[in-house]
Amino acid sequence: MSTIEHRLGSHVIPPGRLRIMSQNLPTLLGFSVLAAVPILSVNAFTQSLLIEIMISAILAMSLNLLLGQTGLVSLGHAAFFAIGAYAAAICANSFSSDVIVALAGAVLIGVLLAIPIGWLSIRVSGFYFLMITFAFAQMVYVAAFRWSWLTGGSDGLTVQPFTLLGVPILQARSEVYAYVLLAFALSFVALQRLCASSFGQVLAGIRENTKRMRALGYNVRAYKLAAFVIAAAFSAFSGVLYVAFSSFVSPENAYWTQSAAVLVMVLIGGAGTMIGPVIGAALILILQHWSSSHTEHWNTILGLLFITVIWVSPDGIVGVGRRIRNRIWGGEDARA
Amino acid sequence: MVSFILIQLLNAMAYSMLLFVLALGLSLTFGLLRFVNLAHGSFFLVGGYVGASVILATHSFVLGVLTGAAAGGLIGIALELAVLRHFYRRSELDQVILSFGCALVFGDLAKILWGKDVRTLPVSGMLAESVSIGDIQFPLYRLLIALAGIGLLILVWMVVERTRIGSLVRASVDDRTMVGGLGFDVRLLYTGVFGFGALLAALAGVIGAPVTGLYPGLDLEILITTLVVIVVGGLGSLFRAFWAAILIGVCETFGKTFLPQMVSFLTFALMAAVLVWRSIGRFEEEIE
Amino acid sequence: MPVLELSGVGKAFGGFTALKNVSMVVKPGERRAVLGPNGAGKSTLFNIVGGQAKPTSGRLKLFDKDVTGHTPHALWANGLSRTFQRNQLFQGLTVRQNARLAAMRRHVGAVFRLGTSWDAVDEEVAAVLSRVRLSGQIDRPTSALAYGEQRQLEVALALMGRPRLLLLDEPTAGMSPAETDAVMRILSELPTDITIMLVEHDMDVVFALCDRITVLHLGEVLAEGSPAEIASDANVRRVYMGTTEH
Repeated sequence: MSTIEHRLGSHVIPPGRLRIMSQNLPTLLGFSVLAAVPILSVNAFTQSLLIEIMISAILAMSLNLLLGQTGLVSLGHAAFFAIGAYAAAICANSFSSDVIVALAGAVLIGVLLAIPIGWLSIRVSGFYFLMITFAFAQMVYVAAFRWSWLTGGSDGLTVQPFTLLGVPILQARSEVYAYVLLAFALSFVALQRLCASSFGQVLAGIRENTKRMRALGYNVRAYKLAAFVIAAAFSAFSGVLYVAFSSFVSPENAYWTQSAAVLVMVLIGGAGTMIGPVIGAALILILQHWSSSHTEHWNTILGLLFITVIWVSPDGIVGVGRRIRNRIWGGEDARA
Repeated sequence: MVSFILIQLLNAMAYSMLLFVLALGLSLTFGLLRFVNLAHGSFFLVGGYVGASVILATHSFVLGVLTGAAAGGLIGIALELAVLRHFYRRSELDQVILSFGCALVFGDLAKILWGKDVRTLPVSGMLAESVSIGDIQFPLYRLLIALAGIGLLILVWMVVERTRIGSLVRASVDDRTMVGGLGFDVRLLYTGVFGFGALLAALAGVIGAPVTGLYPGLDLEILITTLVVIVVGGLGSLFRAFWAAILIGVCETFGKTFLPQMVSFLTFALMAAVLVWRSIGRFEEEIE
Repeated sequence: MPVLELSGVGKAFGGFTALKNVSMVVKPGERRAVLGPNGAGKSTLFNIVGGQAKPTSGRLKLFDKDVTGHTPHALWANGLSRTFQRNQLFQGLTVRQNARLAAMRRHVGAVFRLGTSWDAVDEEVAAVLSRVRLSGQIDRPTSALAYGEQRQLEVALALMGRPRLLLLDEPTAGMSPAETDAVMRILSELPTDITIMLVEHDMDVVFALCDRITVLHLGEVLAEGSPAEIASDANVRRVYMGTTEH
């Protein structure tokens, strides 16, 4: 039975010292455009949309660390997003509205929960890993739903405004935009560095041939757990950003359909690349917004999207782009 | 109290048999075609809707069951021919995504065709009766479902172990290419098997409709529960699937009565625990 | 100190016994061949020694340290490296990337290290790849290599761990005579501080390379001795060539 490794294997992010300027002119351009948005007085709706896209992009990029880089297909990634969001919300409402405290606390809680969940989940692989991550995520959802003394139950939690050193922060949308953009840029660079590092290369090796990696002396489970926890940390981080943006969190944020949406983002954009998940996030969010005002049949759209992408271009949009580029400028390697 | 528990046990058995039938169809598809079909719940729902519509129109339960099952089988065959068969060589993940996409589309189509409301399918006539055992009244319908499930278990076991088709199916699981080399049209066999799995699911859908009701989202709900049954029971054994279905059915039915808040939590925790248990002492790729 | 010591190792799968009471001692510098007809249990034995499987009875010692049931990566840390009967390479990566992953292990101590100077790693990669004569292919995708070359890469990956015990599972299986010669040369040039144990079916390779042979049959040790002793052993001939006494 073939596994996802064979398909995802071609897009190993090349190792080496990261030169931010190198190979990433389009990315740099993208960031510049994003940075210019508040200055250009883009309308409020677009700003909000971009904020949502960037938050989802961080979430998708972190899932890519698990999926594209290590080959672990998780259907429970949104659970850590929700855990981060709830932790930040509870912190702001009950302990300290300081944004640094909430951020640190939320990521810490995400990590602390990711360790046992990850430790148990990585003991299985393939479809079983999908199911077990799904199971844990559903357990988080039920907890969010039922423990209303903590989470507000199905009503969710409205979050008190954050402060920084006593001063209210993140009140204006453009302020939120700036911080989210900064977070996005930092996450992008951090995750790219991680993938290009020797750690990232080991993860790629685990994806390509776990048995061989074990025989080469690598403690595969330790690496998988590390990847799981790091991905969860970024996921919780994006949850905090979400709460800063929307001032609200509810159990829906932990429902498995959220995890499925993040999975689609990574796959549509192109797993195993840094820019793929970002493109996927943008596409899915734009589609979601469009369809919520034009049609009731989001499920059909999502379903057709799944089918089309997996049939026509399993490597996602990035794969299509690569094929077009190869046809125009001549091939890279045999994998075109 | 005792009678309450016994009746609930019967309800659980009936529900379990539905899960068993679904698990059977899904295992068949996976075992032979190596295809993970997440549209399986859709066959259940469509079969239920079609059957219900026919029963409402013709007042014939038997006709409803037959058309519902046939509808499921035909849709399954059509899906296999048009879409799924191109993915037999693809990875697990690709199959999951493809079939899940199909499930989403089917679910929406069902919503368009049959509406968003919950439909109930009452059993009428003789089937609505109760049977007295001791001084407890057991609903006949559920009793029949439970017995039918056990009957199916025995029937499938006999077919798979004892007949020519059964040997063919078993051989194909072991070595697809060889079976093709022996002159059998493997592709036809696959379409047939897939169609049969879909038919089974749709059959369960019609027969189960009075038990579960029919509503948008049922397809995914029952799919998830079926997947839990398969994971808990493992893919290899008919009997393990049977016992797993009973376990999950009992958990869910009694859970809903005594601990309604934690039902799904417990079911998922159970599945996770079973997976972790199976993983002890093994490398993660080796668990099957 | 013996390199490898097996005491009463057995492996049973439910009703089927793949290995029964296998004992052997491999000394430093030895070139040991494990022979036997199909189904003799050679792969199972290798999987146990390599950590891919756990024995159901008996004990395993590597450099006098009890390593029974240890994981492959723990065994690696004790100096063991192996190749597999079916190539276990990183097919989607280039030869260089494959080699780097193998060589990197000794430089990656902690769970992870951000940023890496690839120079030290690349030196070792270049050295080993030239030893297996794959330097020219270094930037080609592994899937583009000929089968024999992939087999050579398989050996190269095992060598990069600087093993003290090298397990080779049918290194020349499926190879042309030229490719077999190439591998033979590589193996014979290996220094004696590396002990070698191999499963082979090619008798020329075995007799040219090995100084001691263990023959398995139906999961048990049938005979053990020098190549000459084994060649003249009546039991061995019976098992390999049928019951003929001529």
